[in-house]
Amino acid sequence: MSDAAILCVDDESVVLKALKEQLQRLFGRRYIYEMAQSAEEAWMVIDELEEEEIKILIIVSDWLMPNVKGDEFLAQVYQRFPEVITVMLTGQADEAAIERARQEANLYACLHKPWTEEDLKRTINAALN
Amino acid sequence: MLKTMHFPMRIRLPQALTGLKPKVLTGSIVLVAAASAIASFAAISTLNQIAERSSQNRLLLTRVKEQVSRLNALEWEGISKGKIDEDLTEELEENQENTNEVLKQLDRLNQANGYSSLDSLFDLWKRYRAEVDHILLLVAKGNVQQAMQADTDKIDQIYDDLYLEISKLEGFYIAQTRKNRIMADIGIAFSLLTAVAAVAILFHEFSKRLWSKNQTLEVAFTELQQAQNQLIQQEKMAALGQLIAGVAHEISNPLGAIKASASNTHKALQEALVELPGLCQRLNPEEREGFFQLMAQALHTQPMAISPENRALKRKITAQLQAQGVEEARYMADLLMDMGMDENLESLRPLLQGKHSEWAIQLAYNLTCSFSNNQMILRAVDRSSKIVFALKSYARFDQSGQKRLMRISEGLENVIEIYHNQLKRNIQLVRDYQDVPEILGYPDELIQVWTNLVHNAIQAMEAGGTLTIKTDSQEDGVEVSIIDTGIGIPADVQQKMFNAFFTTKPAGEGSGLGLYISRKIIDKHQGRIQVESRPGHTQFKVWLPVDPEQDTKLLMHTPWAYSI
Repeated sequence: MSDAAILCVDDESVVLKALKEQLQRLFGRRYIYEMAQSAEEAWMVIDELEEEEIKILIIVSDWLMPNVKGDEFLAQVYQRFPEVITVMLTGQADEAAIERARQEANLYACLHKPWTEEDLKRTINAALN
Repeated sequence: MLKTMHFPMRIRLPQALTGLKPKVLTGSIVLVAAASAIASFAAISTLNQIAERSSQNRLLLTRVKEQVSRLNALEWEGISKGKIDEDLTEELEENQENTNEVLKQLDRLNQANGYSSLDSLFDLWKRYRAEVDHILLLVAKGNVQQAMQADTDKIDQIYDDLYLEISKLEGFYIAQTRKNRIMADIGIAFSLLTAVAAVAILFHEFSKRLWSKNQTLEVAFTELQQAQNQLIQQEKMAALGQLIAGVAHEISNPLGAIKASASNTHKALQEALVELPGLCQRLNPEEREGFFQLMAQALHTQPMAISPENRALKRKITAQLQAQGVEEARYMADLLMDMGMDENLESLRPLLQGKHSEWAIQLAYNLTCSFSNNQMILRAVDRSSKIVFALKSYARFDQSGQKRLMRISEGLENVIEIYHNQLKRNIQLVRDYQDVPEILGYPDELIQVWTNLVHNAIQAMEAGGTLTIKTDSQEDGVEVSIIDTGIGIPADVQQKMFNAFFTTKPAGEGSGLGLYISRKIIDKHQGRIQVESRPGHTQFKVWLPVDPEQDTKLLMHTPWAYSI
């Protein structure tokens, strides 16, 4: 049974639902897929996974979310888990935020909405291999 | 956007150069007028002096005439009496003295004038004096006889000549006085005419210059108006630009979901159709029953929400599956939950414990996920339609220029929809819509007002807060309040913020026209806008009449309204 997870954070549930199904279809049982609708919820998921001793490999986060924005959240994640690969998935190309995430969260890649399954697959494969 | 703006204003250098010419002209006119005024003044004053002297000469001559005739009378009195008594002597002396004095004055004046016209007068006077003095001397000596024999005719002749000469001179000086006075009058008239001409020329010149200045100002004013219109247009475009950025994000979310869902459905069906024939081969009737039960459940299920409770449920189902010996329990739990299953898995036990459980559940998931994906797509499409509708309402340009009956809340909702992504970051939105009547107005222009006020409110709440939008009925109108819990507006800014081009934003960010245009639009609706602000509470109140024409109509149709 898999003990590695991919966590997706986005305030839109339709996006999360689509992402999850894509990931399941692309990588099947290889990973555990967890979704969160905000940075706060993501921290809860991270804690739960930690308890279950499941390692988070990648976090894919939206940028524009209520309260804590994507770049800020990923920077916090990077501080606590420097080995986690951070990916941003955004509909609004805020160059300054992307640059901030690159510097403070060691951002691996930035995907733009609407994304393609191929983009997602390539990014995650490249990050994990 | 504002950085690329070009003001159609030019500095008018040629104007400055041509301005020199009229100045030179005016200067020369003033100089010529001044010179001619001085010359006229000198000439008139000389003429007046001459006239004055002529007049004095004339007066003196009149006195000479009187003196001479009186003297003559006295002398003849003495001569005829044959003796000169004391009184007469005194009188004669006094008169002679007076006459001499007058003649001296006359002579002085004459010399000053350089005239020689008095020569014959003095000559005659001398001759007269000589003759008369001679006789008087005889009388004084008592030689009356001899005196009587004197040639009185000759003396009379001289006296008459003298008198005539004086009268002649008198006439001459009268004529000269008059002539000089006329000349002076002509001079004055000429000076006046010159002055009038100078004033007229100067007036014309100044009017011309004023007219050309007016023209320049009018051109500058027109250019300014054009620049202002251009700025207003650019402000609209800038606001639209900001919105487009937000809307792009807003639409890219549902688009991403639609794209992913459609592709997921496609792949799921591809996988499922290949596996479908295996359904009868791999599953026994009991397992098949569980399979169809799972499918039926999935078709009636809404996608499960992402929540701590559901994550707990997932852990529970995972544990159950593990207890039943199902491999990949966590993955299976995920699929089962996506198909709407909860922890009551008893009926699925044969299927879950079967040899092909994972295959069967994956197939059921692939066959049913298109339903949930379609639901996602429909939801995303609804969301996009809402945004597009709001944008359409926002960008509609009403060319009719006619007021329309409208519901205030519709415009407000459009703006909220467009700012949805900015609001959701860290701002709580409170709608407090009372039942208000429809109003007659320009919907697209009012949307611009709401956009401006909402935009400002969001900017004032960088660190988050609450945006309250209220509608209420107020004295034959509707009042819209936009309240934020942001930093507030300082009093000095409140005074100026409705002025054109006033902005507190850094250069290039705000045009300073937002509130100015908002006020114009509200004025157009005969409404009013008020603001009250302190840190943590800023409220813009916009009052709009239900029907701006109503008052006028009422007065027009009911003349008694005033007479009661």
